[in-house]
Amino acid sequence: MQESFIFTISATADKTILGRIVQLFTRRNIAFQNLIASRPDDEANYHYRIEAKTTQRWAEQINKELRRIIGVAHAAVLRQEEVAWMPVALYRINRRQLPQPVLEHILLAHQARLLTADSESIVLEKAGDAGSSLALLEALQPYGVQEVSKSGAMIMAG
Amino acid sequence: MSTKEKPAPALPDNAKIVSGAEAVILSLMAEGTETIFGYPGGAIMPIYDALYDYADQLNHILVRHEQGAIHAAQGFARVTGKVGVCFATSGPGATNLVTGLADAKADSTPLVCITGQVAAPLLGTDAFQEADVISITTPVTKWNIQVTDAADIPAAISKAFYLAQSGRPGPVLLDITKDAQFTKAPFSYERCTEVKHYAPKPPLSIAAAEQAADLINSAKKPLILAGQGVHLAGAHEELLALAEKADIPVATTLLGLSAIPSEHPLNVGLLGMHGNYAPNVKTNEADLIIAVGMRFDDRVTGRTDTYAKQAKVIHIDLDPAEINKIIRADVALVADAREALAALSVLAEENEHREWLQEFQVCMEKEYEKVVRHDLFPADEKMITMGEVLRFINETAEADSILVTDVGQHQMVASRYFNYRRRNSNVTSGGLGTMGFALPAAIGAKAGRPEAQVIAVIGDGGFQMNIQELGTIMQTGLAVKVIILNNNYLGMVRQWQQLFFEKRYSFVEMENPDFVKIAQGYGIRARKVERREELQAILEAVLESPHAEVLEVLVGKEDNVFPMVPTGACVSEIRLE
Ligand SMILES: Cc1ncc(C[n+]2csc(CCOP(=O)(O)OP(=O)(O)O)c2C)c(N)n1
Ligand SMILES: [Mg+2]
Repeated sequence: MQESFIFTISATADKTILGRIVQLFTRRNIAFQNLIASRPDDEANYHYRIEAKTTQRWAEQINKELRRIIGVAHAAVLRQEEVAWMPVALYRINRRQLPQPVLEHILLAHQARLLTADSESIVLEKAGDAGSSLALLEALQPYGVQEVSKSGAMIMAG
Repeated sequence: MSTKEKPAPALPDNAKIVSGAEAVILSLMAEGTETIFGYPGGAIMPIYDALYDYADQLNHILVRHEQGAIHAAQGFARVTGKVGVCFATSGPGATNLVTGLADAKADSTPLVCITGQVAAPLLGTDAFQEADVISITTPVTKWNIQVTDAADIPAAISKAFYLAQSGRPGPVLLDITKDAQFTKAPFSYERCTEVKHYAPKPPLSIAAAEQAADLINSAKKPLILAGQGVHLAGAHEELLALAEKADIPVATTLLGLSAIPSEHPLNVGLLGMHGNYAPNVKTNEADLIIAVGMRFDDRVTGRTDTYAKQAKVIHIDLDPAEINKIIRADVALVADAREALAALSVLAEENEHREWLQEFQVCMEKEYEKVVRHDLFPADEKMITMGEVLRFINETAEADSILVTDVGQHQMVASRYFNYRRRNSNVTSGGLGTMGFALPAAIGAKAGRPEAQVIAVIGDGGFQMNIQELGTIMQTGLAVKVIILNNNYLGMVRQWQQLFFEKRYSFVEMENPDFVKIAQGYGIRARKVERREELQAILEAVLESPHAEVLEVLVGKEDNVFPMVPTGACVSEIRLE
């Protein structure tokens, strides 16, 4: 049975590691739902968070093979309910179509944040699951949404 | 951090300033490298230029194709236990290594491959002979690195050697840009002894060893499956100690061959698709399987859902990723095979399993009647059989001879019948099954163990896959014995077409050249045998000659290799005919 698994990996700053990680999935014909590569600060390890749908058997095997990669400091595989995760969505809206009071109301009601604003448009930011970002989108729709961008889940695996 | 910002390293007193290319040579020498297999070209010219000055200290063997270089390095590594080293230029030189890298990865063979690369400023410009070698080789190496700074060369090479041979060994590749080879930098060499986050030798769990020993002590029908890990760990004595003390039959995988002498009374033969009848059948009757340094390859297990279901399984492997990958282990010993077997041979009680061993005997007799007898002593009117050639080889071969085989029917026949007397005397391409492996691997084996007799048994198909390496034999004079078992077919594929594709022989018949003339063209002694009466005498002459020899033996065209576990069948369904 296929399930969504979260793989968390931390590794030294070796340029070839991401390639080695990716190849463990692609060789088994497994696609990523979400891939985040980050280096929290310049000297620290790289962090990779991967969400992929596969079977328990492959999840466990890939996890062992991730640990086998030279330079990987830590690897773990978790189920979605075992991690704190949060996608972030950004919305660009036509400034002239959105009256200030409405904007204030929407920000409050949807726990969104004003990220940037210029004379043409404003950008709102909303952290939350797919349902809540959709609700915000629906609330904004009548005022002319120009662009929506969603990050994959930000994952805290502990 | 860019190189400019790097603080100048504190120079040890013995440090000297050398080019990156010379640093490569000095680093290899510091690792004890004596033999390099390689082929030059533009992007590795500085290294070859540096080599020129060290030609009296390093034996560089010029092959005829980079695939030949890497298979030779593999053969060298397999018989010496040392790291095999090879050189190739950028682009096509490097891509020609890929098959050998994949082969060495599959068979856990320690290699350090050094490829030249275009100068760093040209990376990514599609420069002449530029290929993305790091990306191409990532899936087929244990580790790889591109070096663009001469100062990084010694550390990269020492890390490469350490990684190649520690833990589960494997191939490692360094891709060195041409500018890094030219640039001068201070050289000092320190052997790498650890790599961050890398634990090559997990400590043996005593609790797990005790659990395993309990299973061994209470088993009525135990069976040891010995793999390549026994060779890699040098666990031959410990294996025998356990088997003899607890009276346990030992079967080997293809790569485990020669882990226990063929004639040892506890050796019950070869596992797998074309292995022996007894160990395959008895796998599904044993009450305990003790798998040592083997990974339950599908060629060994056949159908896994019916594999050894009745048995408890002890799995000894250094690599945690092999545990429970194919077959669930009741007790896993993630440890060096030598250490684990040493512990088990102390913890195991002296025992006897006469009846169980007798059951193997019965199976062996059955196999002898149905298969072996006909292979080794065919009727007079039949053409020479492959088995017969092996029988004569066994009669004549020296006691410590090494058998190198290619891939196909001849490989299976040779593996079944060769009398392995010495450890590490079997060199073949197991996991990848690479045709063309044997000729260069035999050259490498002979270079590694010049005192040993090296016999390569090769099919007419596989011989032509790296036939150009006859040139390497000619130039080096390495006295390899090449025996071509010529059935004028891609025999193994033909056998499958016969048995599973209704005899529709699709592109398997070979119109072959005159192998004798070709070998002679390379200045190598060569002969051909067609008649049984001549076989023994000529084989003796070939094996006793101090020179390289090529012997072509015409064998039965449509002979099949049995026993056989058909794909998708379970091991106990092994067919004798
Ligand atoms: C590089 C490569 N290509 C194709 C194969 C598939 N293959 C396996 S055995 C075989 C036939 C080998 O023929 P030959 O060398 O004459 O040996 P024989 O089986 O006749 O003894 C082939 C084509 C392979 N193993 N390796
Ligand atoms: Mg053939």
